[in-house]
Amino acid sequence: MKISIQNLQLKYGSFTAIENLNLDIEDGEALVLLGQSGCGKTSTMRCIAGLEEPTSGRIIIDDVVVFDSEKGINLPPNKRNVGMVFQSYAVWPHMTVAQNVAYSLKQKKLSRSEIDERVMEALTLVGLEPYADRGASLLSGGQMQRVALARSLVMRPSVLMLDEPLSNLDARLRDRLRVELREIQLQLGLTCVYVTHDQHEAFALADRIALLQGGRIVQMGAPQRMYEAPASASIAHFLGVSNIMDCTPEGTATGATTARVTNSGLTIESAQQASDAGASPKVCIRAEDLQITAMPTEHPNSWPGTVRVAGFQGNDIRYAIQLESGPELDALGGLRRGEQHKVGDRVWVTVNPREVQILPAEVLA
Amino acid sequence: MSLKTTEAATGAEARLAPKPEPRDYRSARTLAGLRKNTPGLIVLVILGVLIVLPLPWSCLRHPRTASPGRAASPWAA
Repeated sequence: MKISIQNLQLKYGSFTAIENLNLDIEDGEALVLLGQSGCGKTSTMRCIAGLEEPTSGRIIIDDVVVFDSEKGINLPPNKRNVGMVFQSYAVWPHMTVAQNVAYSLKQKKLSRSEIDERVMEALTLVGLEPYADRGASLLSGGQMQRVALARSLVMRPSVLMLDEPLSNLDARLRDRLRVELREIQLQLGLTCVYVTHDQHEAFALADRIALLQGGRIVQMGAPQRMYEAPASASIAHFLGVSNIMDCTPEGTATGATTARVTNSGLTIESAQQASDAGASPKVCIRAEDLQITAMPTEHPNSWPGTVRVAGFQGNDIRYAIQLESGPELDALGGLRRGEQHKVGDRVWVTVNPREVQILPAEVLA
Repeated sequence: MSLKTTEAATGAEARLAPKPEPRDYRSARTLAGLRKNTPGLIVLVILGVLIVLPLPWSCLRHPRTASPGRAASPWAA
């Protein structure tokens, strides 16, 4: 079901949690609201669900106006047909798995046979049918989250909302559930709104990501596009770019840019045009785009330095390299790529000018 | 297609589960269509008052504290 949010604003006293937010979510789309704590992503989701009353704006779900501040429309949450999965599961511990899932159906006063049928259908979908009669307090974290998911799906919602549902699970289980959540969403063709602060989760689950900062959307797009072309240095930083330095960009005759890194003797060539840099420009380089070699290379961006830290991470080694020209760079060297250097080694760090981005510090309001 | 459930369900894991937030419980109940039953509570209180008030005051008093001039309460026996 399509969701349309128009000029949404939410204020708590003088604090503005959401500022003039406009967003359209297509039928069957998985939209991830990504951002740091306090950026307004959960508040936006709660406004859609009706659990929070916006100060102003309009929300339309499946051509039904569920909130309109001007016309005084505010449909109660249970009339909006939305399902929600919470970070803390919110599974009732005194009930069995089946009772938890059946709870909303009983409130709707459906027949016993229909309740049983729909509960088993939802439990089968999340792989919990053998646990139907087990007490919810005896379940593991992953199972509790599946109960919460079944409890939402059993209502056959128009929209499924997930508020950081994997944050409390261990890393392996989180990776597995991430894939399985995506499978269920695609299988049911559900419109999904997913809130997270984890960019890996966002990349894995989204058709589209809306990145929020300070209660407004600062960038929106497909995961790969967001990864390749962040709109500002602060977005790049949030998406995992670790080498961000203040610089002064200068255009070259070829249309490329030479960036002089502030307070150092380092100059970096970028294939990007200097005019794209915007206000307070910063040079951004991903750790995985840096190549570390024991000998100098012919490339324009090749600088000598010393390995200060080498941290083994399984497939990769994470290096902190102190450049002789000043700044320290964070670099990833792959064991499989045959690069292995020890602390104290003199190395050469190289980056392709196409991988160097010069971005404004922030997206202007 | 169904999810596989392989993780162990032990009491220890259940104890490690996050402390549920009251706001999440309230939200889950609201989404399920359960509202606070305030009108029901008010009716109960009114009914209680209506039943208790008509009873004579002396019936509620203990026999030992009853006034001396009055007939002994059946409780005195």
